[in-house]
Amino acid sequence: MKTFSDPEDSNLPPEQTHELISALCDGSITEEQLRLLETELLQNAESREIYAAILEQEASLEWELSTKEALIRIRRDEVETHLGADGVGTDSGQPLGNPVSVAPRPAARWMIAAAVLIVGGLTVWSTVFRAPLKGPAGNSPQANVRQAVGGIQGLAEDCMWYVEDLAGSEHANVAVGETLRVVEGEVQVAYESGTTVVLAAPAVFEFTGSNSAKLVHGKLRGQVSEGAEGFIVNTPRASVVDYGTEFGISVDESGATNIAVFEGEVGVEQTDSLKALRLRMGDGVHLDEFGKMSRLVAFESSFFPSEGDAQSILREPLITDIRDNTNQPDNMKYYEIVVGGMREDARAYVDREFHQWNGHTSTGMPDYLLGADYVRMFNNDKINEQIEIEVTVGQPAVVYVFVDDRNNIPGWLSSVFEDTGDTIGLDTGPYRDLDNILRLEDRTTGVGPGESIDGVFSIWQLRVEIPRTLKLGTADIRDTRTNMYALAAVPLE
Amino acid sequence: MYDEHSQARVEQNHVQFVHLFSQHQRDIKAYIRSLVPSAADADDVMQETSVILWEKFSEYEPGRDFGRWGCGIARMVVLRLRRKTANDRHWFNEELIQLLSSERQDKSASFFESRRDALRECVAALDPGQCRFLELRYGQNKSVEAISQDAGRPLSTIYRRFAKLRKLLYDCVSRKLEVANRL
Repeated sequence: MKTFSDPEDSNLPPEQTHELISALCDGSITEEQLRLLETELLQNAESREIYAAILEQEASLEWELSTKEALIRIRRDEVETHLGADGVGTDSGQPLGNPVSVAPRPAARWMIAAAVLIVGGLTVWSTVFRAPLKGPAGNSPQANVRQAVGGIQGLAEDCMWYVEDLAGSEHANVAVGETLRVVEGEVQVAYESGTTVVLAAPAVFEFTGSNSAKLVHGKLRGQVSEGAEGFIVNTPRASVVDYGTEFGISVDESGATNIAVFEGEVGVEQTDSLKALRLRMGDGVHLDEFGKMSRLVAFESSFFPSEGDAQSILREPLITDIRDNTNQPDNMKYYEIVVGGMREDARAYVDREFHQWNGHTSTGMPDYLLGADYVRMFNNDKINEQIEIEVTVGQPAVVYVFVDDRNNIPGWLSSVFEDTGDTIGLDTGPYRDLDNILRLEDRTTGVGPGESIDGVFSIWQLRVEIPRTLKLGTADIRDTRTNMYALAAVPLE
Repeated sequence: MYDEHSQARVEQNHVQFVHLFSQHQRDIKAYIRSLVPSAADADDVMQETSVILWEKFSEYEPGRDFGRWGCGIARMVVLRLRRKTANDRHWFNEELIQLLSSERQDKSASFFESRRDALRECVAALDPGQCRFLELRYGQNKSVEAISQDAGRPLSTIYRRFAKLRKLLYDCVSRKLEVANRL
């Protein structure tokens, strides 16, 4: 066999080799390109290494991410296949099927259990993981958690989940030590106390007590009702103690943990140190795989399970990152990028639970803003006279800045952006002061455009033809009762 | 007609086969994908290979490397299908198939394991937007065309995005392995 491995024989630069391999993976490679790649691979050992590595990577991604395919395949065959205690499919005298279709993935035995549950209409408990628990059943912690958890339900039709049942199949609810695995979609766990936890797939959630749980992996959004304060979520890197609030937690494969507070307050205690801190609405922290804590500066909304009525949008965010110069150690505020989320009554700021964007009048907000990406800013930044914010626009877009008409027009804005002449309204509703006391109780939040509008904002725009970073400055306020400017973006036509 | 003994033996064989096949299915599939440019052809080869492995399972000697045996049969299926369909489909020439096959089989199982571990870490470090693209493509098995339509972005943009993502992951995995090898 004649082959060459001297790099000097290489015909293609590595970038082009990568492009050809990628086209092959996507199925878009032409015959001419395939022959070019073939020649390159025959001549160049280094290119073959790249090719082998990327094709292996491709196969791994297909294998590890294609849970749905696996579930469908196993579900179809479940009627023919019994599952042994070791999770390996066995045949019990049924006619032999196609070997491929009955072979489960060894690394995904839990999927088989999920399939069993799905086939059983989400009421049958898996037998695969069942093992007896020690201790009396009557006064055991298991009994407590069974009473505490009111129900588990999928939030969409295509949702898939199951519980690894340790205690036996007779119980209609979960026990301590049992684990909920969410395979697809979002699942809500409702506690009798009124606390609800929404988990987004893929997630692993362990029931550790009547008022505690562990998020082993995945994303969670918790809402703790008044009277149920003290609910604890443990993660590999921290314990999150809720003080009556709504919060999000995500844990990745390495155990790195992100925590963001949407309403109220939580306490965060690091697992490997005595360090603890309290986070308020609009605060977020990141604990890396070694437990090192830092500010969670910005995230996209899908980083945590969706808010109740939010719809997921299938497109890349236009604003891909936001940074600022506020680097005090105790500053934990975050920016939330809401992809496609602009609509009437959309929450406006991360640190104001009731402030909402609405059309200034009953005709509604300008059409071009409906469905726009927007950023929930930190309203208290309005008083920061030193703030500089860098906004990365990742795709060609029209970027809008909303400026409270009661404020001055900042120079950084008027020198680069142009006034559209349009306006948008802000319905402030009640708000909490620095002591977390609800103020302006006489104000209610209106529903829909033109209702209960408390502030009018001018809309300024900038066409960003080429992705780049924009620099924004202070709000230049005249009065502290006014508001921080805000940002939105739509794709450039 | 089976008597009780022969039926029991078939069942035992089947259990053993399923056990071995499920252990090595991933490696065989990845091996096939590395030789076959088209994902659809790779699926056909995998299907055909699995049937042949089951048919020939009586010839399999316990203790032998099932994965290597499976890849050997897969290579024959690849070459056979190539000869049948070389005129109307994308294939590499036989010389390259043999070269890629032998180089891959020279690599140890731990080589692939360490790459997969590194890849998991790299995927975990991607930003949410990048993860969403991977989920659509590999999790939901959507074509690039379908993703382009859903996202309302030109097809060429999505192709470029996946090319960039693949390169990003490749570079990340390479860096991690380099660091691990230095330790």
